[in-house]
This record gives sequence, C-alpha cells and structure tokens, in this order.
Amino acid sequence: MRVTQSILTRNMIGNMNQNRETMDRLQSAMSTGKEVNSSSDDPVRFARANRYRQMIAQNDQYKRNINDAMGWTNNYETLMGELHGFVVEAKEAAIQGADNTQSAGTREIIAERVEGLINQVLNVANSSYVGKAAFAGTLTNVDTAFEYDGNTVTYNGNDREMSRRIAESLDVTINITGNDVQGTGVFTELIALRDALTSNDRVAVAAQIATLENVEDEMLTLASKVGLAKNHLSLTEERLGTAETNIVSFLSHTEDADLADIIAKYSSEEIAYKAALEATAKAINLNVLDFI
Amino acid sequence: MASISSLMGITRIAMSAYQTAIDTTARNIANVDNEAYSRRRASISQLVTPSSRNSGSGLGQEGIERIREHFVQNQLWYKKQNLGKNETDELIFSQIEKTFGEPSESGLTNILTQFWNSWNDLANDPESSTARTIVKDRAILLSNTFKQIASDLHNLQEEIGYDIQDRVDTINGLLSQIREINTYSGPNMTYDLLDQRDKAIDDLSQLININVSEDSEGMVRITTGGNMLVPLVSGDFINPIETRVARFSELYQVDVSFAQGGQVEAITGGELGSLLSIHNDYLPSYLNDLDTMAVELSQAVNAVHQTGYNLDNATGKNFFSPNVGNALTFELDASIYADPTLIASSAYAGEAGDGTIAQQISDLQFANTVEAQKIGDYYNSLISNVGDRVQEAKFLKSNHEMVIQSLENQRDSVSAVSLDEEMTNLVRYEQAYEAASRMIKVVDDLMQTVINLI
Repeated sequence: MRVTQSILTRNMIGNMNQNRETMDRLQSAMSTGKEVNSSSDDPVRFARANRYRQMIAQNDQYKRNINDAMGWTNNYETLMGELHGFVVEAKEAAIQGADNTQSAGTREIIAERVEGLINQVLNVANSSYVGKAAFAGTLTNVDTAFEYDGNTVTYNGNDREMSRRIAESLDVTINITGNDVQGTGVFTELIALRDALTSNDRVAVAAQIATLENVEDEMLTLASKVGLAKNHLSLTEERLGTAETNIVSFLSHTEDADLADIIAKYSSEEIAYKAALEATAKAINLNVLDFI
Repeated sequence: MASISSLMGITRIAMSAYQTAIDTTARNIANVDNEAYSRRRASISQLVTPSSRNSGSGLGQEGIERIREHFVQNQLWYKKQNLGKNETDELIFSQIEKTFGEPSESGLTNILTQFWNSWNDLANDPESSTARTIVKDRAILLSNTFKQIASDLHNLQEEIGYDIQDRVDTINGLLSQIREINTYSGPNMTYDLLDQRDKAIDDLSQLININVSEDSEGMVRITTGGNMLVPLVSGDFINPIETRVARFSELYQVDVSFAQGGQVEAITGGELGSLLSIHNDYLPSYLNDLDTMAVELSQAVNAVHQTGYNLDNATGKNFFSPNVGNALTFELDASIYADPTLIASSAYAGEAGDGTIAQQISDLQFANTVEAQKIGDYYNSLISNVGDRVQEAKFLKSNHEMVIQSLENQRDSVSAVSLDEEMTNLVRYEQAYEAASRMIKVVDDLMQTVINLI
C-alpha cells in the first residue's frame, strides 16, 4: 500500500484520540468512584442502580416510621405499667378494707385513698404524647379523653386504631384506645370499691378483691399487646438493617468502579499513550528530505 | 533522419516537459495537507510528444492526470451520512440526558421519592401543620422539576428547529456550488474545480443522505432520500430544499420539501436526518411521556385526596390543580398552595389523629398509576431509553469513524500526496532537466563544429 503523510497523520491522531477517550473514561471512573455515572454509561446497570437507590430511600422512610412507632409503644409501655401499679395498689386497699378489724372511719380513709388512685388513673389516661392525647383513638386533639364527675367516667375518644407502615404492605398498630382501657373495668371497679368502702360494706369490699384481680389481668394483657408490637418493631428494624446492608452492597456492585482494576487499566493505557506520542513524534519528523 | 536543428527542438521539448513535471510536483507538495486535493501526475510520454489531437482531450491540462479512486470516494460519501447522523445524535441525546439530570439530588427520581416520603411523614403526624407545609414544599419542588425539564426540552426543540434551518441553508449553498461547477463541464473544466466539487459533495454527505452519479459529460446528479426521480442537482438544474414548520399545541413539526417536487421523503442520514428525527419524533415522545406522568400523577393523588378530610373537616378537595393538561401546567391546587393546612390526611371527619389518606397517597408510589406502571418505573424506563440512544449513537459513531478512517486511508493511498514520492520525483525531474540542458550545449558544440567546417 502507498502510505502518504495524510494516512500517517490520520492514523496517529485516530489512535491518540482513542487512547485519550479511554483515559478520560477511566479517569472519571477513578474520580467519581463509579463506573456508571449516567444512564448512557450502561442503561441496564443504571436502571438497576436507580431501583436500588429507590429501595434505600424507601427503607429510610420505614426506619423513620419504626422510630416514630417505637416512641409511641415505649410511651404506652410506661403508661400501662403505671396503670397496672394503680390497680395493684387498689387491690391492696381492698384487702385492707376487707379486714374485719377495720372501722367505718378507717374504711372512709381507705376510700379517700382509692379516690386518689382513681384520679391518678385518670391523669395517666388523659396524658398526651408529643402533644397528642394517648388514649383517645384518632381523636388525638381532645382536651380530656376521659371526664370524671365523681360517679361516672365518660370517654370522649373513639375506638380507631393508629398504625405505622413499617415495611412494604406491613402495618403495625401502635395505640391502645380509651375503650381498651375502659374495657378492663379499671374505672367502674375502682369506683365500686370506693363506694363499698364509703358505705362500710365489708362483704362488697371483699368481693372487689377478685374483681380487681381480673382488672389487673386485663391490664397485663393490654401491656403485653404493646410489648408484642414493640418486639415486632425491633425485629423489623433489624431486618431492614440487614436488607439495607445487602442493597447497598448490590448497589455498589452495580455502579461502583473496581479501583484496583481501573488503576491498572489506566496505567497500561498511559503507557500505550506515551508510546503513541513518542512514535508520532519520531515518524512525523521522518521523510526523504533528511537524506537528499 | 534527424537533423541537428531537430535535435535542438527535441531538447527544448524535453526541457519544457520536465519543467511542467516539476511544476506539477511543486503543486502536489504545496497541497500535501489539503484533504480535498487529488494528486496530479505529469505523464512524461504524453508531454514529450505533444500533438494537436490531444489538446482537445477535454481537460485543458494536457498530459497531466488527476489520480482519483471513484469507488472508494463514493463509499465515503455513502458512509459519511451515517457519521454525520451519529455524531449529531450523540451530541443531542447527551444534552437530553443531561436535561433529566439523573442520578442527582435534583433529579426527578429523588424529588418524587421525597414527595412520597413527605406524605408518609404526614401519615405519622397527621395533626401537624409543619408536616403539611413540608408536603406542600415537596409538591412545589416536584411541579417545578416537571416544568423545568419540560421547558428545557421545549427550548431544545426550538433550538434544533433553528439548527435545521441552518443546515438546510448550508445544503442549498453547497448545491448551488455543485451546480455552478457542473456548468463548466467539457473543455472548461479544470482539476481544481473537480477538487472543489468533490469537497462540496463531501460536505453535503455529512449533512444529508445523498446518492451521487456522474454522467459521461462529467456532470454530477445528486438525489436524496426516497426521491430518486427528483434530483437536488442535475447538470445545471438545481432544486433547493426548504423547511415548513407546523405547530401542534406546544410542539413543532418541521417538514422539508423541494422547491419543486413536493415533500422530501426519508431524510434518514446526515446531520439533517438526525436533527429531523429528534425534533419530530424523539423530543415529542419524551415530552409526551412527561405529560402523561404529570397528568396521571395529579389525577391519582387528587382521587385519593378528595376522599380525605383536612383539619377543618372539609372533604372533596383537590391537591393538585384539576386542570393539569401537561407537564408545563403541573400545579398545586390554588387553595392548597395558599394554605397548606387544607391538605387532607384523615379518612374520617373530625379525626385529626387519622393518617390513612396520607398513607394511601404515599402508597401511590407502589400503585400502577401511569400507563399501568409504577410512576418510578415509568420514569426509569424513559431515562434508560435516552441512555440507550446515547450509548447506541456513541457505539455507531466510533464504528463509522473507524470505517471512514480506513476508507479515507484507502482513498489517500491512491489520491493523496506522498512527500517522499514527490521529493524523489523532484530529484529525478531535476536531473533529467539538467541532462536536457546539457544536451543544448552538446548540440551547440555540434553546430560550432559544422560551422567551423566552412
């Protein structure tokens, strides 16, 4: 083949451009740490990486939801513990009041103590968490979930559950409604005990001991529901953590550059480029003019 | 039998022949870097026996050949239209890809995720007006991002419209150059004009897909696209092309037609082919996808939002404007925009603590809201589609670059100037010229001898 100056130049420029292009690609992989920086670098890997990124963002949201739910359940755990404590105290008062040696006067004093317990129970039942009524169902903005007129307790909330999304299509109920609390009979039975004590009815007081034991059981059942939910939350949180570790490593496998590999490729490309430059410099200077 | 005086004649002819040869060599050397130049070769045998018969050979450059490879040249013109198309494709599709700006914080993917998550946060805290303000802010960001991308694409379409006009003007300029040179066919044609015409066709082949044929007179005929019967240029006939712009709502459509002979069909190659297909097909399709997303997203969110109750116990309200017709009109409902506390989150009247509706709206990200696909997946495939185009254009471009490089090498191997060759020839011609001039001295001596005989 007849090789002209233009062919030499064209081939050399072509080769050097190719070297340069490869080096540019490798360089951007080195500086960003990623091989897939945009869709056009590799549409398939890019789409996959994008999906992983969305999954990670979604997991972050679930973790936020779990944290929020955790706050609620911790709060309910404390509240249920307190309520349970009051019921136990009331039971002790009933045992004391059922004693034969008590007089009408001392029963009156015990009755006042029970009245104090009723108010404490009300206090807890009307408490709020992050500015929201804890035992009012979804009517979280009521001022007092329970109103007490000295004889009866009225519930101002509703029976609606509140739930949190803790994983795809997995909701966990986080609240205990006022109905649940009322359902344990805590108010009616405490009021009945107080009335029995006030009217100095020893038999009725004694009967309240067993009833209050029932209330105590109901309380424990509610508390265990909270415990279960909490358990559920921490298990899910753990699972999300593992899932995230996996997804992050999938994402890294999908789009990250293998630096050792890239650097090795870059050095060999650099050598090729230098060689091309040197060859070009030599060949271009070479022509018959030097010899005639 | 040769006389002494005819010897003088031969020598004179030889000297002038080698002078022409040196002149040709000088011209070749001067054009060593001229891509459009086909090298010339002085044909010594013809030079030394000039005859009146050859002077009418039609090229007016008696005894000098223009060395050119027709087959490779035609191949080059055919392949260059692909290169022109792929180069422009790569450039513009990369621009489109950058318009979408994925992956980044400000990309639509991330903005959408933030939007859905803000609804989920509201579901966790349905009594809060802060959470509502955040939902509103995220929604504004979302609508702005939609509008930004859509208007960038519209602007790009407008710019490409100007580019098309520009290319059409350049094409018409080249066509008239070619026609002009065609008219010199016959005895007036020179090699320089032929070089110029080749260069013009070369430039033309980058811009538009063409078919070139040359008749016996040396005039070229050029057609384009599917219109084999309607030439762009043929002999001294020229048929320039022109653009016609039509507007469909927000979108423009550009058609190219001949000055005579109706619409140009199948402009598939060259920069013009690339610009036309992006302008008329790809950009409208991307914009259409964005519009579909905006419309169906707003309708899906509104449908759920209408069933919810806000903090004022009002229901049946839209979240996004009910009049979203495309990505450019993707707006929040005016009253929500003015007062985010009107955002509904509860499924039941008066239950401030219920976040069911907010959760349902957040869950729309998993629902098949857009063309029976999740919106994230729909957008993802749009981005992948653009990425595919860029990748394909890059791949084809480098393929065609290689093909063209090797074709150009083949062409140059025949028609380009080699300095080594020219310098060697120069030495050769110089020596021949020197020898011929030495002959004159010899003939002169001979003459002296004859004269001295007297």
